[in-house]
Amino acid sequence: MLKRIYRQLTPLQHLTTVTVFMFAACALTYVIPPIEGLRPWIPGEEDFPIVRLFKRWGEIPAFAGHGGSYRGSTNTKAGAERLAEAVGETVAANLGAKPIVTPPIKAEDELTIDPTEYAGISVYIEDPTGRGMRAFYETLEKTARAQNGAITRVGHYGDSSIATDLITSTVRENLQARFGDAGHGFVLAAKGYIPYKHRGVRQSSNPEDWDVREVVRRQDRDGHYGYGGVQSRAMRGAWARVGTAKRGDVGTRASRFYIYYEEQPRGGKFSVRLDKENREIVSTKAEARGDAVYSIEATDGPHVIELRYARGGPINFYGVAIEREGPGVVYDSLGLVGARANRLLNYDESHIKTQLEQRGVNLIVLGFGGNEASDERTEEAFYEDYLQVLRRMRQGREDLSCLVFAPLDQARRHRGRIRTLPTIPLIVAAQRRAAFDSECAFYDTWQAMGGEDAMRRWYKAQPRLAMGDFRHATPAGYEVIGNMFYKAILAGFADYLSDESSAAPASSTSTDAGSESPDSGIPSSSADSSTSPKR
Amino acid sequence: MLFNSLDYILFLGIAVAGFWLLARHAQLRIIFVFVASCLFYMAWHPAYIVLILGSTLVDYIVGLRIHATDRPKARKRWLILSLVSNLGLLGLFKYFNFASQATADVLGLFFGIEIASPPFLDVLLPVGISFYTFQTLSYTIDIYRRKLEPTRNFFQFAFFVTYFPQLVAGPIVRASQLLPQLQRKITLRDEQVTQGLFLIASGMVKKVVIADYLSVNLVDRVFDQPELYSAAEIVIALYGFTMQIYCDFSGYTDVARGSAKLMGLELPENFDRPYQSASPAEFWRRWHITLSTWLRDYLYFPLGGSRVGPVRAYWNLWLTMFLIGIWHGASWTFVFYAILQSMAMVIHRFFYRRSGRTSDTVDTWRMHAFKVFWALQFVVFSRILFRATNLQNAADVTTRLASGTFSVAQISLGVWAMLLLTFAAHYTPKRWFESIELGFKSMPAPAQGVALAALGFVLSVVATSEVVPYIYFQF
Repeated sequence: MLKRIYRQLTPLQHLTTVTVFMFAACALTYVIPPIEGLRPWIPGEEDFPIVRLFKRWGEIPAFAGHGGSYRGSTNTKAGAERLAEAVGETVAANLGAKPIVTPPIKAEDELTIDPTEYAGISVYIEDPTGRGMRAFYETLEKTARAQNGAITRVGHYGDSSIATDLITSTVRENLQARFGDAGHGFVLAAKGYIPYKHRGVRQSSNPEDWDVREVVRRQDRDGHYGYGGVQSRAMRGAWARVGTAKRGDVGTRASRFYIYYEEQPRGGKFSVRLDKENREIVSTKAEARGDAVYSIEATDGPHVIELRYARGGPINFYGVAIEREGPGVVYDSLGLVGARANRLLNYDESHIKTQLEQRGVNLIVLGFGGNEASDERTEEAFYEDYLQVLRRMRQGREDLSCLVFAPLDQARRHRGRIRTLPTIPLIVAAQRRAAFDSECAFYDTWQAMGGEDAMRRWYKAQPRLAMGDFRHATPAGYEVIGNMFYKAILAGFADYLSDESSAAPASSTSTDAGSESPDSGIPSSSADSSTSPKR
Repeated sequence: MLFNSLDYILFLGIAVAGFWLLARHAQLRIIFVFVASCLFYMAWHPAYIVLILGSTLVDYIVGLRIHATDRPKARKRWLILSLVSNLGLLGLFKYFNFASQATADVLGLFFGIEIASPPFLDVLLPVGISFYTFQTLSYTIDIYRRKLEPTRNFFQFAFFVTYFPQLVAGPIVRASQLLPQLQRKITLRDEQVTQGLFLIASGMVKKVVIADYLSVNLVDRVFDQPELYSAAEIVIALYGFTMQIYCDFSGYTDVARGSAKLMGLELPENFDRPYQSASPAEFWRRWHITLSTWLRDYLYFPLGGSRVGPVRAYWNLWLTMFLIGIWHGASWTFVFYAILQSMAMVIHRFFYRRSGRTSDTVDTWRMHAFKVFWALQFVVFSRILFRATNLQNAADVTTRLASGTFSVAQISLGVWAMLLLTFAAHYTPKRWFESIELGFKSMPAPAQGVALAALGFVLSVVATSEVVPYIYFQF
């Protein structure tokens, strides 16, 4: 009966009936509480459909001008203003920001940092005990005073946001432009098939002949993953090349290569060639297992080294570091895709201690939280993790500064809208607490991005600063974070210098840049611990 | 206003209701839809309505003036005015900055003349300018060729230019296709209701479920940071983009055609399963059909088509295809994309002619499958230039492709499933989809309404993010 009625409808009646029933079905979501999540529009929370479009007149559509002129045109005043409106002035000021290069000073000159060098940030490094960053700043002061061979080294661990080497390369380039280029720093000897990319360095290898074991996957029972968290096992036929970048403002020159590897009773031999010349054979055989470093000196300039499996038993590499004489800064990017902070607990405790000492690092930065954001855990559980990780990595060393680098904002679509994940503020709070309880410093990347719903704003900005997965930033976004973090370091250093100068005459007039590390022969800096209130 | 939004559904409901409520007032309903279309356009950026209205007014007058005179010189002068004003605006807004930068690049590269800041216009690309420019040109050119009578009713012409379903991303409707429909009594047929609703629904699924999913979970990530992905993952992302752009653009066309059908109007088809093509030439006959046929009729044929000497014929083909390529965007990547596509067409025609084949020659199914496979590979890999943000990005993607690495660890199960399902669906017989439409048609009207609401709920739940703009809006 009903079917016959429906068949007799005119086309317009048909269309009207469909529309009425469609809207009626939608209306049910407003009267049946269990299905209220399906409401197409939420009164009070959102502006009225259609009308809201006209309220946003003047906003730039996300797709505007892709094929034409507008794309990413922040080089114009109007473009910069549009970006500032979308993501805030602080964020906008850090896109395309170039470091202010100052000439080196003499040891007796007063060392100061002009506030204009770190203008355009609203989030600073938090270091309430003053012990989080002190050792690092002391070494950086020597570098800034251009003392002979004064190299300041930073190791920045993290997840995929660090693994792209976009945040870290921005910080590296800024620090090196400001304080001197002491080389690209640490890279894996060979990456096998894992996603791994560094900027400002040349790297190649034959992946099929390398067996790569990652700390994030706990693939080595002994926990010997090396400083970079990846042990690269060379098989017969394996080769790898690491060299200076062909072009760029930094990283184009080197005067030293350090090869980090494992010694072992059955260890094989590998060959090393600098610039395709002077082949040397290095044996990794030793009475007991241990961590070793082989260094190669060269005249300062562009160089490439090649590692090859030669003969014998297994050869396990941890990585290669490219450095220069100094003074300057080395910023090691140690991000691993898929990493969570607690994966660092897979390290053997004495092994990672030795590795950090051999590398002569003055500051470790732990930038995790991106992958933990999808874990349904309490703030307390996150806190316990970070506390343990900080203990494992720092091991009570007062000459090693440490800083916890909060995760980026992360969002998911909720009822069609992009909202910050509820775990993000929990993780940030847990990290801050764990950092302070471990006498480490803390940098609130999340707040620096804009805090709650920052990912949404970054995604909608022109140029786009966040990716569509709402977990990662675009290269432009990472550059913004890198610039903000660099300026925060600089601001902290400026505070340190002013505290020092008000407390006592400049203490670092000695010409010794650092002490020799007993294990490696690589200079590592020593520092007194002292307290000084910080931001 | 994006089709894949609640705003559009409500807007369409109001527009369709108003259109039929004014059925007895032909002129009023035309004005009503024209005003609605203007508001639809102004929801993007109100200022640019001036451009489209200006263009409409110029072509309306030019059409009448060409028709009013028999003097060839005068007719030509009016046509030139139309061409210069339309193409001038397109050139200024879409190509000026690229031309300026490209000139600086070439001067720097070949003559060592460095221009630090070439002239730059800080303007937005008006949405849909590449589409409505071609529409209005078809009107004046057809009148010039005496193939079309101009309309004296300004609002009818303005309706044709600004008609909201096809305003921002096509299909490129010619005056000869839409104006006659407006000049007749517009009626609604029952199959138009069913087809219209079904097209809107399928267009939404293509866009929200397939295109946005692939974009966010695969393609954007890989193209943003290709160095983090293996060669195999890059290949998968290229296939992903190939399906994404098809579902994105054809999904838009489906919604546009469906919306027009609800007003009793017919818009031309724009896609015919393009990845089933057995050659580059066939691909362009199946992809963005209204653009290809537009350039064929208004450029390729007037140049002489293939009825000229062989060199000139190849040149005509190359130029037409080059312009189709460069139409998509003003950047070096699109220049190289255009060159690649046009060269493929020229080479294909060369070998096709040498083989002595005719359009009647039928391949064995194996040979046909072989050709379809390789034609698809060409489409997929040439898309690097289409999707890359710049030449460096294209080079990075290509470098990773050449790395020969095979890991697919970063491809999720969902992406695999989506790719396999969508490509499989693309090669299934058309009648399978027609049977789904028949199923929808056989439902009583209330059930259709509830089914559409249910689909809307599903889409809102599975939508990957907030409303994602259509790719072709950028062009």
